[in-house]
Amino acid sequence: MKKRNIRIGLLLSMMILFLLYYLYPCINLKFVNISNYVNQTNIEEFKYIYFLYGNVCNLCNSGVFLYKQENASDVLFIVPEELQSIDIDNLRRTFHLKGKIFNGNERTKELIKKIIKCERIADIKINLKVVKENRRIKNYVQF
Amino acid sequence: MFKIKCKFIISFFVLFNLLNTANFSVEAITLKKIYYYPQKDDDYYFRSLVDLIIFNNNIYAVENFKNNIVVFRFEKDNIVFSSFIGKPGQGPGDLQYPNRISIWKDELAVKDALGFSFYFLNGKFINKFKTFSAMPIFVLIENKIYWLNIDPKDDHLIEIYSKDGRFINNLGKKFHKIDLSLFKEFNPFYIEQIIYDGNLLTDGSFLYYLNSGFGDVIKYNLNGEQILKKNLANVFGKRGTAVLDKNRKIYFHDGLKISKDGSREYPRNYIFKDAYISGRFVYLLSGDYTPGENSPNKEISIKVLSLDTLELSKEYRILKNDVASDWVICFSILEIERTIFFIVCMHTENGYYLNLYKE
Repeated sequence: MKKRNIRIGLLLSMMILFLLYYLYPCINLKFVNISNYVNQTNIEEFKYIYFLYGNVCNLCNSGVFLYKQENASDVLFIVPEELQSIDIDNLRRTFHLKGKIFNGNERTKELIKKIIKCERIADIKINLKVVKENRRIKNYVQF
Repeated sequence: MFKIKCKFIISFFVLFNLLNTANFSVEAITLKKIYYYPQKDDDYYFRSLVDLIIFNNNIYAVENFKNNIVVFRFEKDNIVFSSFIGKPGQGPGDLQYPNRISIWKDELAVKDALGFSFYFLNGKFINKFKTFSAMPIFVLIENKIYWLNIDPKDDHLIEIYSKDGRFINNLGKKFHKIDLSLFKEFNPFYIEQIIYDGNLLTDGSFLYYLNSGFGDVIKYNLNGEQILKKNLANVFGKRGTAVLDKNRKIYFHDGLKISKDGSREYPRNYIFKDAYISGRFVYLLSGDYTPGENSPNKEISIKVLSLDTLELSKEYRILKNDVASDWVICFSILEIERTIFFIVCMHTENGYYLNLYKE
């Protein structure tokens, strides 16, 4: 009886460990303070943050998603650091983006890596719309 | 009095008929196929062919899926492989799904999925800039890119960019009123792309926009002033007007709906498939299908129009014979000692070919 209880206990603890391992990236994401990863002092004023690290083109789904957004001034767009000011101007013109557009950095990539770990995606080259609540991630959608 | 009236009525009808047919009744010259490429084992075999330009006896063919430009030499009525420009990738000099090319003096501009790349004609890379519009229709004039604008929120027809990607100016006005509520579940950029699909070409002094689905041709000077505008659907006879009517019905009246299996289909009907400027003429290659007919056209026509007046001056035809299902994709023209050679890209069940024709 005792041996049986030990076996069940081991099995349960294994399951809990597995679940913790499996869910840890997403649990961790809930406690992320975005301002530690996004190099903007005025992060509070943005309700949405778009990370445009994937393919963005007007004939792709990502382009339609951007085109249909209400691009109010409370939207922050973060693009890869290799994009130059001319590219950013062209991005703004192509989709009539009204929000602020900034280059990300290594810390920004770390935040995206946390999200892709939770989503179990291998590639960092994705586009994300993050809904912010205070300094935490409330919700996000990949597009 | 009655005789005078009769004479007047008869002469009116004769004059009316003459006016009606004068522009559009030129006897077609049948072109002879003299060579096709590839045919030998060591020839270069295409995986896809989307655009073609001939410049200084060199043929520049765009290989969309192999991510490069293939250069051939035109030698003694033969096509001989020469070299590649660009290679697959995203770095400097690399290409990703190239779609259209344009040559100005000694520079080649390529539009691919990621932006514009510039090379010298010997293949040496110059620079590139990123774009977020996949629209491939453009022309390089001097140091400027003239690029078709498919932004539904912008009324300008053409955008002008410097070779480093800086926006310079707009040119021309869009001339179709598109009701996007007819295409609710469809990409609005894609709808604009289909409606304004065609060619941007130059003769060095003027810019020509040719709309392949609706037949509109507009000539601009390089300051952006409109010099001439015509609709050329009639030039292609009943087939041209049938395509025009069908496109008008789909894109200005009925709209598009998602099919039962959830797929979005964008019907493409071309009055002409490709256009090319050589000398003082613009050549238009007709499409493969006539609305209402089940099988593809058994012949392709090439209409030749004066660049000054956009009036029809000559007509050629290519007989497809038993291979009517071959698709024409693009073409290019070469003139050597008053002989005009036509190189036509064709997609057949055996693959892609460059067919060489002459008068």
